[in-house]
Amino acid sequence: MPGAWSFVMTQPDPDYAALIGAVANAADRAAFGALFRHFAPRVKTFLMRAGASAAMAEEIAQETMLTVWRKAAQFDPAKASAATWIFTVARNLRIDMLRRERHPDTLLPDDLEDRADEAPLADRLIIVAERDDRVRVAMASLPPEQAEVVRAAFFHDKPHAEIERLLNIPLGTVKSRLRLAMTKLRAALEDFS
Amino acid sequence: MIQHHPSSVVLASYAAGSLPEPLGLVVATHLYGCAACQRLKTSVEAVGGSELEAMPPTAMADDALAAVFARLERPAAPLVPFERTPGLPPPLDRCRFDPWRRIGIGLRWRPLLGSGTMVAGLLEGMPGRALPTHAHRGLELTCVIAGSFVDAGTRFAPGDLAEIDGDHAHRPTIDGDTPCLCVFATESVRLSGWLGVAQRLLGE
Ligand SMILES: [Zn+2]
Repeated sequence: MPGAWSFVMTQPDPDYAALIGAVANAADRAAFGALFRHFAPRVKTFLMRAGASAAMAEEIAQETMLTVWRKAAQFDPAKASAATWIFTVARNLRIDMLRRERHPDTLLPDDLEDRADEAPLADRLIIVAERDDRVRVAMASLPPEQAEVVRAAFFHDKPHAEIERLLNIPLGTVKSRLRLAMTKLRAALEDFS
Repeated sequence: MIQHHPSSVVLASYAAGSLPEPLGLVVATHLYGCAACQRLKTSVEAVGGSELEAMPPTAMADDALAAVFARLERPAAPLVPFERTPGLPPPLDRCRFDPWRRIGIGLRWRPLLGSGTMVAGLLEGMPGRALPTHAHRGLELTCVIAGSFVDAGTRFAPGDLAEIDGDHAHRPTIDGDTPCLCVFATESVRLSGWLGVAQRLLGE
């Protein structure tokens, strides 16, 4: 029966949050290998698009996965999806790397926001999944030109001027599009506490 | 009650990881007390997660996984404990600053160490103190920690973030009857913002 086949052949995404949990609870190397194979090559692409050389992207991607192993216990699936958490790990490592490169004398802390979240909720797991869904839906429903400026924010060091130059639109337009997009993202999450 | 927030552009850049760090420190100071911006930051991070998920893979080095496994065998470098700077809210309490420098009557500043080509630090002024009018270029962010100031008829109280971008002449004045303590960061080194004042007064 074709229906059954398509069911069999549709591979569900592995539960990456559960794999991070297995790393945290059981130092599970197979789980880590699966995470590495999925995320490291994507982190590498992400960083190269954000301006890193292939060598630096490779290094930060490895460092990101090393941090995933070491900080797996700090991953809270009730606060972020696996991909979102790994994005923030890679983002922070890239900032560290840029800082060490440009200002080796710096004394800024590595992570500006490592304080514990003090608002636990019984159903936070459902909330994070729903929040991510809503963000995805909100992004998907943005007009393409608004989604474009939001995405551009991830890939440029000098957001204002770069977006203006690369998308070839005036700065005022960049700002007003981003403002509209962020208003919609905010509205999508209005009733989230 | 916080009234003034960073713009969408600044908040999105911060969450995306593309805002220069000293400016990010000012945003982080605001976020510490602003649940609304914290939520919006979280949603931009979720966009980052879905962007990451959507990236086409780039092959890692052949021995990458083995190299990471090998590094796991070695203990992590010990964390260097940082000294808290007393009297400041997080995340400023774990930053390092130079000693206070006087920059005129009733006005002093403490440069943030490691701010690179940016100029950033703490600024404290006594009540009634007006800063000289100055023209400003580039992005400048200021977050109030204590006390308040008024700029062009708008009042900034603790937690409020003042964002100035582009050409702008302003003259912030400290109001109320307590000293005003702020953290600020600015992009352009010359003739800009409060630091321009500091530079001129210091003859730097
Ligand atoms: Zn805010």
